[in-house]
Amino acid sequence: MSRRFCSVAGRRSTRAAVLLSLALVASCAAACGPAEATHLRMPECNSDNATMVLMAQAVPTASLLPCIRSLPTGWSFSSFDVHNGLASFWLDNDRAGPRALGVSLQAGCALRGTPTPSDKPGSQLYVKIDSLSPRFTGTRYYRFPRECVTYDFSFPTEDRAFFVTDVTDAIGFMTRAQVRRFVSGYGFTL
Amino acid sequence: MGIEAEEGRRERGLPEITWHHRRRRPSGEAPPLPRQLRSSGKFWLWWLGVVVAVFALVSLWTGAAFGITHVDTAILQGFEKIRTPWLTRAARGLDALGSAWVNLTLRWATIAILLFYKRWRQLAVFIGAMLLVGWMGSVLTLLAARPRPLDVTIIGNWTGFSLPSAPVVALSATLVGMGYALIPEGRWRNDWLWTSDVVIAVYCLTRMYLGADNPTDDLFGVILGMGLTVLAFRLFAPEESFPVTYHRGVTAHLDVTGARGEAIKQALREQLGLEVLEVKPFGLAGSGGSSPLRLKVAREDGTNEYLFGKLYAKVHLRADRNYKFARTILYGRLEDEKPFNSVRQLVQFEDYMLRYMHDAGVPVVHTYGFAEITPEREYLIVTDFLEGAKEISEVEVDDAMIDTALAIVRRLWDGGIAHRDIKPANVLVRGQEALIIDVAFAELRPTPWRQAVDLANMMLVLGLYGSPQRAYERALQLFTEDDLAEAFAAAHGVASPTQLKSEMKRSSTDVLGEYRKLVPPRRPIRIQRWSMRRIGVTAWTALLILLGILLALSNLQGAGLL
Repeated sequence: MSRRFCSVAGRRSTRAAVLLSLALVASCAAACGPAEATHLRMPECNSDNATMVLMAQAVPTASLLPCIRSLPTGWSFSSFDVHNGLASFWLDNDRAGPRALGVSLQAGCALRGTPTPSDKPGSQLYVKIDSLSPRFTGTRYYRFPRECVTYDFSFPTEDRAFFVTDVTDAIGFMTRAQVRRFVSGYGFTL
Repeated sequence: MGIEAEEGRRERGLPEITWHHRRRRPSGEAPPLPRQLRSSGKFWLWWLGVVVAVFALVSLWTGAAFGITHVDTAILQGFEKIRTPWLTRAARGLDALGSAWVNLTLRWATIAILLFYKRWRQLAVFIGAMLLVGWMGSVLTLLAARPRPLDVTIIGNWTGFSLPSAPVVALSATLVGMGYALIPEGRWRNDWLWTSDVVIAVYCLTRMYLGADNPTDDLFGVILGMGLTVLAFRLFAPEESFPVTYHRGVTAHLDVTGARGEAIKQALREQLGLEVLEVKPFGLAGSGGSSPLRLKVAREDGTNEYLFGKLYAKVHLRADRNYKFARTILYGRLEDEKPFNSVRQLVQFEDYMLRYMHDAGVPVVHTYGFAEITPEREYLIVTDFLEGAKEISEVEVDDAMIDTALAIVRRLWDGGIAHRDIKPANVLVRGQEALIIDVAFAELRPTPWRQAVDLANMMLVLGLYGSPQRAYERALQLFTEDDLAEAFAAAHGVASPTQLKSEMKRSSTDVLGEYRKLVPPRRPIRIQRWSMRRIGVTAWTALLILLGILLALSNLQGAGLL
């Protein structure tokens, strides 16, 4: 009798295993391969965004964190990579191509290129142009007192002015204090 | 079935063997060898259930996530208090255990060993488990989106969100996967798994000491990495069917010791009424399509007798399917055979063919029927054991032997049967009688080409170990010259089994050439025949292989194996 119970239990376990596997897969497969799941974690300029908390943890000295304010027409979020010391994210554009813009946050950086009046208060801006044609590629370095933010871009030469305007509209900054307020709501500090 | 077998033995004047009352398995009772997850599988299944429940909870209620984080933080702050320079140096060194290089090296080494020993099943499950675990790890971290530890100074390296801990998932899966894929069950495997547990525990403590992971990140990482890998091996490479061994030989043969051995005895007692005293592998070298066994059964008079068993499992069914599929592509319409759909169908067919051939007067071994070991997965067919029988290559092939061997083909023709695998190993001689064995691939109402090939192959066997001239002359008593001309027109390339072809190559006589000189001239029968089906199957297979390679490369990259 006990053997019978064991075997019945065994078959139930097998069934349960299949169901559990399906549940695990289904819980992830709801439109979420790694690429789709990445899109859920776009670093938007919202204080309750987990990715922004992670970015703040990556560069603990940073008081300003780059984020996506809104995506102009033709732009989409590509992916992000955050680890200790560096936080980056990339945007795709339907005309400029994949990863047309990459934004990185680090504690510091070596400035290259030409000093230019900065559009971000409290920062120094250096612009390094790598090529003008066939594509307009280069890097903008924003150095703040406690962090450095770089924009790596690669746009078609002919429409570069439009793309630069788009980028200015798309990328914003959150203060560390804003993210800290969200975390402190749950009893933690950042 | 058992009653018939008893009567059959009486008719054949054989001594009585000990018969049991057959027993019907009632509904709900387990088969002799049920598929089981075992206690470790069930243990991980429950823990995976806990993971799913917690994930569901924190996804629906952010407060719960932060509640757990408070507990985690308290533990991590405890670690923070014991930080010392030397302990920190040691922890940073140990942190390399979870690096991509360590995982890559271990995983590739495992794959190389499995390839070397041709452990295809373990290889497929190992790679599959690594891909699944890698995929789950990356997707779940994004879904949970848990920040790194809060209120603690992080002094270790980290990447991305923290739950589950990706390096812990990877290391756990790698070490446990290696244990199940490479080490035979028993003490060594247990030692490996315990050691792995210690290594993983130390690694988790290191990550917590460095403040890189929360305790629950590591706990979930261990459960996912170990649990999914153990379940993958339990479900898709169960030890009973795919034991890890390092002896050379045909890998299709199943281990018949332990649980399976006992299950075989139980099944034969309950289903066929046979009292089996011993189950031993037998003649493994000559068989790849099944696991041949010698079964010692008790006789009524207190002595013992041997019966022959062939154990069929899914692995054999798949081998048959792949073999037929390959032949469809390679040889076209003449070989476009339909594979069996289940193991039950395969063994049922062999049992049926033995009975059909017996009724048609073809000398074959006597069947006692077949028993179910695991439903739809494993079946055992039992026949007489041909004690004292020899392969035809080991006896003198005189006129009497030629006549009895050719009479087999004549009866096959008259019965509308093709054996399709006539070769020296399948023609046995007991006393003055020739018999054929291995009828699983026989066919009823075959094409004339297949029947002609049977005749040619039997003639070639007889010509190899006797005189082609004598065989031809004796054959004319049962077949016409045209029959023989057709047979040798069909006998080329794929038509002859591999063993027969290699024996012909080894022979000093050109047996086929000798026969072709004797028979009336006839154009060879073309084997390569193209059909729309063959073209479609070939093109589709090529496309799938290409896509498979691309997908595998991309997944291997994603799983950190490239």
